[in-house]
This record gives sequence, C-alpha cells and structure tokens, in this order.
Amino acid sequence: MRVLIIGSGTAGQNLAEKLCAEKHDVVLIDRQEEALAEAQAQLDILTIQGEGSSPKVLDTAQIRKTDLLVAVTDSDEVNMLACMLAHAAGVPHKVARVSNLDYIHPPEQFSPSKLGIDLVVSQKEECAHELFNILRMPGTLEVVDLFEGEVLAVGIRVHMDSPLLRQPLKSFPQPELLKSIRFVALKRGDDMMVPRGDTQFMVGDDVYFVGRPNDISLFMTWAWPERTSFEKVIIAGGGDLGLQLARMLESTGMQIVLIERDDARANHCSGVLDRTLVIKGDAMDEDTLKNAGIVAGTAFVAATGIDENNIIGCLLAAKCGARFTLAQVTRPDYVPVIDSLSLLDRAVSPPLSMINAILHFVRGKYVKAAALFHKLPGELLDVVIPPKGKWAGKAIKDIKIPDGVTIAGARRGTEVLVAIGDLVLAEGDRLVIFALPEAVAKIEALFKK
Amino acid sequence: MNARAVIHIISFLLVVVGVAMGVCFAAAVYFHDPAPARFGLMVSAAATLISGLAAWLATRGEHELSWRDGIGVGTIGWLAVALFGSLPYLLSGVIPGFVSALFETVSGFTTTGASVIAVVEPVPKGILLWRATTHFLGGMGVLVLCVAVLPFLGVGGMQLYRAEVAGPSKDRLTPRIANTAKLLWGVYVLLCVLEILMLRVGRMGWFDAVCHSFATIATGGFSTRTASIAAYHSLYIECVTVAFMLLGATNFALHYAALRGDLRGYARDSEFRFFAGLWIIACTIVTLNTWHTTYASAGAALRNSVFSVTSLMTTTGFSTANFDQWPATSRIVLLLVMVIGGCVGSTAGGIKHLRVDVAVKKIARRVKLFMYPQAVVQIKMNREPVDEDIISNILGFIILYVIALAIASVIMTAFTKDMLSAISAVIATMGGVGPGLGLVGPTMNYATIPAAGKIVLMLCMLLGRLEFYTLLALFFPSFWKK
Repeated sequence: MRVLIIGSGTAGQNLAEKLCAEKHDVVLIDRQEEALAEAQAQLDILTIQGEGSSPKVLDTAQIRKTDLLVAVTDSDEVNMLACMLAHAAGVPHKVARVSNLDYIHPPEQFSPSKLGIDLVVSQKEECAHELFNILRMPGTLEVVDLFEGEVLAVGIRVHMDSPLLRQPLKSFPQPELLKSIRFVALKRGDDMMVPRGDTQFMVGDDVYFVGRPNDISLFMTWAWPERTSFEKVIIAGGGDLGLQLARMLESTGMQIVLIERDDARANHCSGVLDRTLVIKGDAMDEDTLKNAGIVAGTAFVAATGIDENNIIGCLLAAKCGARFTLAQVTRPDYVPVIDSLSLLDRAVSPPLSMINAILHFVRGKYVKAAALFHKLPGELLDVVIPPKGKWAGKAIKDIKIPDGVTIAGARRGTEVLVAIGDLVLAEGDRLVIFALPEAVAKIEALFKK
Repeated sequence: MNARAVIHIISFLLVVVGVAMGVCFAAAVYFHDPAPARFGLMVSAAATLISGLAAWLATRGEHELSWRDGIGVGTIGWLAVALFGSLPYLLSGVIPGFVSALFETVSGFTTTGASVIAVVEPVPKGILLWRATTHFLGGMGVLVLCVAVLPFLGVGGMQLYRAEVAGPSKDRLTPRIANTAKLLWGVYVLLCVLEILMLRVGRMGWFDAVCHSFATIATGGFSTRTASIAAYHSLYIECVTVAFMLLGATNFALHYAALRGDLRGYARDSEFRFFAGLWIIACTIVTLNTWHTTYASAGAALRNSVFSVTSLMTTTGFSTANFDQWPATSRIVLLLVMVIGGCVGSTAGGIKHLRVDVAVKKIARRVKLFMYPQAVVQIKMNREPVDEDIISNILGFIILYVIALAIASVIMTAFTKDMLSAISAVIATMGGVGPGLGLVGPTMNYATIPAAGKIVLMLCMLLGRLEFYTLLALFFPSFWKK
C-alpha cells in the first residue's frame, strides 16, 4: 500500500516508522527540510519538501497512486484541505488530525465525511480516552473493549505482594474460572511470551488476558485483592486535555480536582465543568497539592503542556501520598525513561495515542482491528471466519496457528465462547486474535477478502 | 561497524560474481576455449562461490545495516569483488602478474576500460566474456543490485545506493529504495538487450554483440578487437554505438520516465540539455579542426570526430581513429570532455554535467552581482532553485576532483616520461574513460606502466567510480571505531 503522510512531526515520523516496518511504501511531506532529513536518515521512505496542502506538491507525490493519505501537521486547515484535495484526486482513504472541536463536531451539513475525510482524529481526544480508561480500571495497565464490551482485554503489572507470584497458574484456586480467561501475552522486560499453566510470574511482569467482564473481575479480585477504585482524581493543567478528561470523569463517582495556573483559563474551566473543584494555582507547588487534598486513594494526572513539569509534578504528588500518578509526555523518547521511575506509574503520549487510532483505522481495511494495546507490541484483530474458510469446522487445538498468534476470544451469534482448545470453530464465527507485530501480516493474508 | 552484517552482504556480492564467472565458464566450454582458460574460470567460479556461500552461511541471521555499515560494504565490497574478479585472468594465465590482473579487473568493474592486454584477438572467449561481464556488473553497480535483491537492508540500503549511483541529488523513483534499484537495473538490462539486437542487425556476431553491448551501456570500453569498433568498418555499427553510449551516459531516471511515456522528460531536464549542448559544441570544434588537417573529406572528419567525442565524453573509451595524432585543439577538447564526463544517475564517470552546470551558473551569478550589487539571483536546475547546501557540496566536489587529478598527475610523472601521458592517464582512469593520450593513447595500452603506477591508477579509478567520499571515509579513524 502506498501511504502519503503530511507533516514530519512526532506523530508523522512515528507513523512512518510503523508503516514502513509493515512494508508499506511511505511518502513523507513536510515544509521543513530538516524535519525530513531526520526522517530520511532513519527510514527507507521518500521525502518531499513542500506545503502539504499544495496541489502541485501533492501531484509530485503521485497522489493518484496513493491508497491512504494521513495529514498530521500542526494546522487543522492544512490537514483538512490536504484530505479534500486527495478526495478530489480519488484517494480511497483519508485521515486528518484536527484539534479544533468546531471542526470535529460540526453541524451535520459540514460533516467530515461530506468533505471526503474518512477519519478525523484528535490527539487530545484520543489521549483523554486513554487516560480515562486507565483511571476507570485501577491497577490495570490498560483495558480494551472487545465485541462491543461483552469481552474485555486487560493488562496488569505483577506487583511485589501479588498472589500471582506465589504459585503458577495451574494451581489457581478456582480452576474453572481459569478456563474462562485466556492469557494472551506476558511481557517481561523487552521479551514477549505466551503464559502457560506452568508459567512462574515475576515481579514487574505485564500480563494480558481476555475474558468476560464478570470473570475478569473475579480473577482480578484474586490476583489483586487490595485493588480498589480511586476516590479522587487530581488533574494538573486545565488545557484541552485536562478539561476533556475532567468532563469525562464527571460521569463516574470519583471526586475531581482540577488545578490551573492561569486565571482566565481556570475561570473558563470552572464554567464548563459541573462538579469538579477548580483550583487556581501551581501544581508544582507542594502547598497547592496539599490544598487540593491528596488522600490515600488519589490518582494524580499531570497534563500541563510541558513534559518536564509533568514528570516532576508526578514525582512530587507521589511524595505527597498520591497512590497513582500519570503524566502526559509528548516526546516519545521520554517514555522508556519514565518506565524506570518507580514513583511515576504511567506515561501517556498524545501523538502515540493518536497514531494508535490511525493504525487501527489502517488495519480496518483488511481485517477489522478490534483494538491495540498501547504498552504492548502487537494487536488484537477482529476477524470473521469466511464460508469455506480454512479454520471452519476445526477445533482450536487442531488448527495450525502461525507463531506469535493467540486466539483470544470467539463469538457465535450473540453467544460469547471461551477460546479453549476443544472449541470447534464454525464459519461466521467472529474471533478476536492477538498477534505480535510480525504475525499481523500473516493473519491479514489469511483473512483478506 | 557491524562486521557480521557487512560480511553478510559482501558475501552476497561474491555469490553474484561467482555465478557470473560460472556463466563465463559455460561459455568457455561452449566455445572450446583452451584448457587453461576453462580451468581458470572453473576454479575462480568455484573459489568465489564457495567463499561467498560459506561467508553467507556463517553470518546468517538478523541484520540491520546502519548508515556507517553501508559505507563499509561499499568500499570493502568493491575491494573484495576486485580481488576475486582478478582470479580468472591470473589462473588462466592470460594476464601474468597480480597487479596487472587486478588492474584489468578494477578497470572492468569501474567501467574504465583501460587495458593491459596488447592484442585482444588471441584471448580465449570465456575470458573476454568475463572482461565484458565486469563492465556489466559494475555499470549499474553491484551494490545497487544488492539493494534491489536483498530485502533486509533498511536504511543502510540508501547508503549503498548513494555509494554507487553518481550525483549530488539521488532521485528516488519510488518510496522504497529497493524498488528504485530494481527499476534502474531493469532499465539497464533492457538497454543492453536492445543494443545486442541492434548490433546483430548490423551483422555483428552474437558473442561480439553481447560483449560490446555490455561495454557500451556500462560506458566501459573493453572491446573484443584490438582495433576496437574500427575493426568492423561499419557506419551502422558506429552509429548504434554512438547512440547507446549517449544513452548510457544519460540519467537513467529519464529513461525510466521515457519508458513510462514521458518522452519530453529529456528536453525538460536542464542537465541533459547542458550535456547535449556541450556534446554538439565539442563535435563541431573537433570536426572543423580535423577537417583538412587530418581528414581530407568533411564526411570522414565528422564521422570520426563525433565517434571520438562521444566515446570520450560518455567515458566509454571505444575508438575508431587514433585521436592522439589529431591537432592540439582537438586533443585539448577531448581531454576536457573526459574530465566532465556524463550525467548524474548514469553509468558514466567524470565530474558530471550537473555539477559543471551549477558551477557555471554560480560564476554567472557572481558576474551579475558584480554588475548589480543589489540583485537577488537564484541558481536554478529544472526550474527549481537549488539549495545553497547542495551548491557548496557541488563546488567542494569539483575542487576535490581537481586536487586529486593534480596530485595523481604529479605522482604519475614518475612512471611516464612525458607530462601529457601522465595527466591524460590520470584523467582517463579517474573519469572511467580508458584510453588517454601519448603513452596511453587509443592504439596503446597500460601494460607499459610499472606496477606502482598501476596501483595509483587503480586508486584513481575507484575514487572516480565511488565519487571519493565513500572511499575516503575508510581513511578516517572514526569510521573504524564502534
């Protein structure tokens, strides 16, 4: 597939890297020569210097041969115009990054699809969703909805006092429960493996499993007895991201505090929000934090625009007694460093959140992508066994499944089935498959229509 | 440097070379070559293939080629290919002496065409085919072939491609460098096949047609006849050769565009226009100069002048006339076109027209600024302003080229008695031309130059072919550090 990416910023370059690794032909356009030189030095791609919304530049980039256009410059207008031009040139798939809410949710007659934009992604919105999911399911690394929420995919980190450490999976006290949960991946450092009955867990392992919500909660209560939901969330920074997160959290029972330094912005936030306590002050200041009232069950989210402030803010909040700290970090280079800080629990990068959403869309062209784990390489793919498909009529244990692939869940009609070895698959079954990056292409090839 | 990755790719180069030798061995058997030639080719093919395969298997595994590894493969790969490539000459006894055999091989792979073989006709056919094959492989480049075929090169592939494809701006025809390399090789092979057929129409034998086609498109110059193209006494063959020499010296990206139906691409390309202009001017000067002085008829003057100018400007080095006997004006013009060479992205050597064009425009800008101090003048190529960075790179390259010519010429005077032979030998090898003037003129050869002199000239050929930087990087200590 030939992909045209406009904008060689963090998002553009990371997307180019991902798509290039998947053997797509990537053309990258940017106004600045330096940004392109940086990408060119690392990736096997074609770079073109020029304005992404210029018809002439798009023509040079052979827009007619392009299958997918992704416009991720800083300017909403450039992104949208580029997509509209691509629409005129007959490009089948167009994605624009847009941050202005006016453009994202316009009156019906101006809807993006009418302008020829297939997907509008907002960095802030995607990131807010990610933060919200993390806060909703405490103790998890991430939670992903599958089959419209009937099945959940959950990742947890094994802590020092976790019962998971005491015995291997097969000596789990409720073996029948274990049958209803499918372990899809175990990440230890940079190694990936599939957990089995005799797998001995270690501190710091990230374990990912899939199952029905009830079974998942039962398992979670066993694996993590002291897990309780957060009573309170303190958000530092009332920018678009912080504000959006606060609005989403208002639907839950959590107590919410928003700290914003700027007077006018704090006023604006207070006007938009209903039950959130808005405090004007500096989140980097210990007194302000104490004022906001950090209690034992508090989660702290640092979402000011400056990475370094967010990191320090989280460390400060952890010292003050916050149970869980989350930082918004824009530079992806910082993320691995943050993983090594024990006081900072999670970092979320808006450009990466957005890329995940875009990749999700790209995948959808061949196999419906169920979801992506953010912290785990690999993807959950949603496929339907076609009539006369290779896998139809076979038990899972008899199927020759490619390396790096696990069948995580299945649904027949409205019934959710547990993907155990004895399950015999039939045509029309919907499967959720977990595949490591190198195996994604194999699954795509198997199920390509 | 990632030694395993570098060896892995170089071993692939050896396998390619080994397979090519195997083909030449088959030809030697087919043509009933004398036993030493068959033996030499068989042993060289076996030795090269076995070393290549052994190294390939020994370094199997995941390889990611970094930027710097690419340079390593470029230079060390070329040296390895040259060493193994000299085996057929040595083992068959056609060229006794290691340095001479190596000289012939380097001259082949760099598509120079400078030979140490005085009389070509008695040389066994298998060996002649190998000589032409070194041109074929070196023309578009073994590294570019690598990039086209090996799937795992990554970013390092770009470095390999850069090492071999001439010019300051390497146009990518496709987003993936591997596909660009495939297309270039495709166009290259197509041109070769086309020329073989055209030469066949002119009643040239199959074997000669193949060898001459390899030598023309690669702008090499090894012939299967001592008298070169003159041996055929055919105006048609000369015309075909001139046409294909010009094609070989043109940017292959333009050929690709033409094959896709954009024939006007040639006319739009400012480098090609500059090339064509200079070619016409040089042909006119030399024709007028040789008419009445060397040739009585205007027809003979035109025929020989056009052929010689084309042959030297495209850095091929075929000959139909002994231009060493021509008047001084013609000889100077010929030397100058040898220095300039062909277009970027072609198989030709020399400084390249694009660079000269930019330098000329830079001078014109200076003059204009001298007259109108407040003028703003952009240097343009193909109607686009050229980046100042690229301009200074180009000027730097020209200066480097001239300095290298000067130093090598001084050294060469130690091995030749006269100045002209020394200078022209250096120009002819660095530009990848082949024949020069004086001692190394079109009727002479490089056998008379002592071993030390041959080593200097080999270095000139490699520097010219790899456009300096790749080879020079090896001499910087930081290149070898982790």
